[in-house]
Amino acid sequence: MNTRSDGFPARVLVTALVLAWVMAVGLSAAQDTSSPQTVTGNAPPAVQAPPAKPEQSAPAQGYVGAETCLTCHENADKGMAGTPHARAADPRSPAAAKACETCHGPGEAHSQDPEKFKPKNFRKMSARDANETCLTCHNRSAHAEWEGSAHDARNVACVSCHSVHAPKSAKAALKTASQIEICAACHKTQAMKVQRTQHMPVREGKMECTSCHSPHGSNNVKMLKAGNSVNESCVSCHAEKRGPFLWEHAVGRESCTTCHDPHGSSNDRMLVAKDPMLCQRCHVHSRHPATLYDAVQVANKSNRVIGRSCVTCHTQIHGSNHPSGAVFSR
Amino acid sequence: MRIRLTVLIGALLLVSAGLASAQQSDAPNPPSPYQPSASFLSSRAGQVDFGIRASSIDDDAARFQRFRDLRDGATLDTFRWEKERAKWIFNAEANNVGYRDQRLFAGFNKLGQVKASFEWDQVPTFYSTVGRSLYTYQGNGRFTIDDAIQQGIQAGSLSLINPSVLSQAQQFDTRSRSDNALFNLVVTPTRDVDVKINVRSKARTGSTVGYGNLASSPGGQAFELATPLDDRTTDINASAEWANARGRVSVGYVGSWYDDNIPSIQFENALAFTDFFTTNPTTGARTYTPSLGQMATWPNSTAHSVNSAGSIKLPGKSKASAFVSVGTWKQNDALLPATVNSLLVAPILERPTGEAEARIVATNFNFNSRPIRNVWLNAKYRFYDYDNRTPHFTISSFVPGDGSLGAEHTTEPTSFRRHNFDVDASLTPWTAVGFKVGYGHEAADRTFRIFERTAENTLRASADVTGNQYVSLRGVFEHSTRRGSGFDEELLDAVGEHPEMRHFDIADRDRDRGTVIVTVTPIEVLGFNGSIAAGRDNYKNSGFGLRDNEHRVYSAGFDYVPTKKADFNLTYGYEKYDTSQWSRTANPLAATDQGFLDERRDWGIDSGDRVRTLSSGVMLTQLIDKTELRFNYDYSWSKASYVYTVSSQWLELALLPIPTTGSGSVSRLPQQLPLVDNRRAAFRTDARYFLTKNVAIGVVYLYEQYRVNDFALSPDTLNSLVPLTLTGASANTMFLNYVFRPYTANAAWVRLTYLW
Repeated sequence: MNTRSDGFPARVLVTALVLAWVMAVGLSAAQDTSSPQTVTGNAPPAVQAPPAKPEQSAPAQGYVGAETCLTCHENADKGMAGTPHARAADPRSPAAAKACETCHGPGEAHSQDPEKFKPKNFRKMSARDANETCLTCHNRSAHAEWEGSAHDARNVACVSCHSVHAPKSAKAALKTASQIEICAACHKTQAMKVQRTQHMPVREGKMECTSCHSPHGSNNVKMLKAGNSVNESCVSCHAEKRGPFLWEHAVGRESCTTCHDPHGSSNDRMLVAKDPMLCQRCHVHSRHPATLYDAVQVANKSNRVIGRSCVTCHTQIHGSNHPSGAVFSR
Repeated sequence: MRIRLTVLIGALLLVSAGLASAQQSDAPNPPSPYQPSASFLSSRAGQVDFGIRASSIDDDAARFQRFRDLRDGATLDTFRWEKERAKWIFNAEANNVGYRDQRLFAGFNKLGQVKASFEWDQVPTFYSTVGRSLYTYQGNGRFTIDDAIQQGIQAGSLSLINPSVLSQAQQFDTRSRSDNALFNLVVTPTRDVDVKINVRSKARTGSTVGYGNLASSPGGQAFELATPLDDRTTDINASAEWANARGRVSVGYVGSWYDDNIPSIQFENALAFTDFFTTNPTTGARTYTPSLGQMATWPNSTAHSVNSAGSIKLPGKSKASAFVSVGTWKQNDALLPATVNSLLVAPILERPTGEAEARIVATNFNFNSRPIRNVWLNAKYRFYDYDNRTPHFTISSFVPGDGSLGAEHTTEPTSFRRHNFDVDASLTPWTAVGFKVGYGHEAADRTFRIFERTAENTLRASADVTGNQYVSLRGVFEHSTRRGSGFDEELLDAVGEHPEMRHFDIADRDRDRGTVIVTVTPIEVLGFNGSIAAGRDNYKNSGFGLRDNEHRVYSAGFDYVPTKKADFNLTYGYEKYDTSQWSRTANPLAATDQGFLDERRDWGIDSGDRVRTLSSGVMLTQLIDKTELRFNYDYSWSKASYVYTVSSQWLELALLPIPTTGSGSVSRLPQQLPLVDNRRAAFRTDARYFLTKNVAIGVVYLYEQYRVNDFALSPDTLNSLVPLTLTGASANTMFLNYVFRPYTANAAWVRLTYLW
């Protein structure tokens, strides 16, 4: 039982990935001199403008500056005031580079013929095309994990959640006033669970979705922000349950969510089911788990069903460090 | 060997990414051709909300304020001040000042160079205002009980259910609070580099609902205790990251220290003043009753890890990234003696401290590409290894509940290792339409679990229509199969479990899950949304344990925004969860007891939960001159059922005198449990009238109602600190009077808002 061999061909896969990587780096290096994205100066890397259609005459590629843009789009900067995108002193901000044209592309052609040449309108672009622009600057920390993330895989656009020009939230330029409103648009089941009796302090404003999740991408599963597994995420706050303990409850060591629903539950301690029924999903036979805890047992005040049920005695169910803690009662 | 190889490869990849990124020169920044318009800069407003609050809470005030503090009195709800200049910003915030849930924040941002912030955030957890106990907490984890009560009960002159005894219970609040101090620093020495330091300290104090138990089942005692909390977690997260248009490299360190100031809980036995034992006259066996119990609390522990991540952009809109984390968790607390029962010879411990250690390695490799505009490919490999290196610990005879010497037990330091490989491909034939198919494989191996290995294959497909003005649709379907191998029946036999029982977290499973979300926006100001989610987990090879798990979730709602001044929204959801599990009333197989093999003893539980949720809101901003109005109503109603089913032959077994000595009672049909009902309704209105441009007067009114009926935790069940059984005998458990009670709460604030 202590032998650990899963038979998964990890070595082959890793080797294949390495070869792919090396080849890719080589190809990349070979094309480096012709890279169109190299940008120096304060400006963030300019995004490639979509190739002009062959039948069009070559549009002017120059930048015209924000004042020209605002001549017609006079309200476009109102909602941005005071947001990070508008802070020119930050060399990473669009305001420090080409202002409007940092994101929307060179405006000279559009200013000369507004009907014929359109700047980038992110709401009319495919999600990934639009996201490319955002990711040219938002290319570090969690944003760097966007490509390949669960949201990227489902064609979620940056502008699905964020509004640069008309943000409604106090931070993060969200399209809604609160974070849970934007998340709930898709994650309806989780949002509804927050309303349950047993819940994390989300309703009270002490937590929000991003307390645990990183919507832009993550090295953890389930887009969790902290750690590299579900449990590492949980113990980043519940550190007391980290251990390792002398006596381990194996199922809990593998995943807290086997027993708990972190989004909310009607059961005490956010359990996925009520005790003792939850424990009896695994502890079926042998002594008192095999007992049928019906209404008669409730009337008889059996401490295996009333109160907190099994954990009345098996208090240290997450793990025990007591020499006599084999059944987590010490 | 494989771990080292993986780590080495990961490190090489990171170096490779770093070198590739380094090829791009970090040229000095020339002046920007653009001079920002003055309209990009604006002064920031400050705000202060202060006033007075009064509330009326009927019954369970603790649950109403579980994570908040809504006591009566003067309030400073919000303070916000921001000073922005061209090159820096300072902001300060405060909420609920002076209350248990207060939050203070200050931040400074020298744009593009340094960001620093400090936050102090208190999170209360309020369990009960009516806790009662015969115990007195003496500090340092020690609970005592009046000697006279112990002596009287041991001598037989008193009983724990005697009103004169129970009346001595003292009433107190059961609550705790987390004080979180968070310091963040980001230094940006060059345009491409960030250095980050994050320090968090979380201190918990107070008490929670805990337990102490004595002697072993049956006949043991369990006492609810207001277990003290006094611990601190200190986390440090430091990283340096270099990113530019071509790639990214980062290195980081994460450290965490957990310190518990209460190393153990000691509690006296309400039923015994001295340790004693009784001897069975027939067998000569002794039954011990300890006068004192001792339990371990959470042990001090540390966690340290270093990590590195890198990514590089490749031709064909491709990107490769790698992540490696190597860490260790340690716990070396002193071990308590196996028992504090003076009549027992405590077994000698193999070692004096825990010596627990786990090494954790996590790696991710990801390759993402859009070789042509409407095709997206992604391949991901994830490796996670939790290698528990804690030496085995054998106790010659463990002492459950400080009551008697038990059998030899040896620890099972759990380890597991997971490999995940996922490939996904997406086609976006039109701007607003995307289709995706994917395949995932998870291979996991574990120690001390009934399956040595599990393998799960997942096929998934999704369709997303987004960006369309009138309709958006997201649909996804997944089918997966998980199978275990290397079944170890001995692990089940050793604990008397049936060989057909399977732990559902690793059991063979067929899973189907799907979700469809539709949003229809016929006109710009009105949108309708609906969703259906359904899924089923079929544990097809589980003879006992969880065998089936299904869910259906429906939601419908609308959002109506007729003008910028008005917003109406409503969402209604119905959730339906059903599970089925199977069991058998029998003791472990023995020559004298064959009940273990008797199928007539089988029974099951069909659990169901039906939840209705309504969330709605109205926001009227300046619809009435100078007035802001917000209304919110949330409602959640859960009805859970636990229905027992028995084998068709159960009754036959119950009625016939079949020799099943020792296998437990099967003498009647089960009496079904009542439904568990939870309903919460919350209405909140927030009105503000602007007397001037800077001054507003407002009223906040909050109404909440909670109704609960939980057979296990209702006041009817726990109707005394020591509830009596049907026959009038006292139960062997003394509670804290922590029960699930309803509440009706009204709270109102009058507040003045000043803006500048």
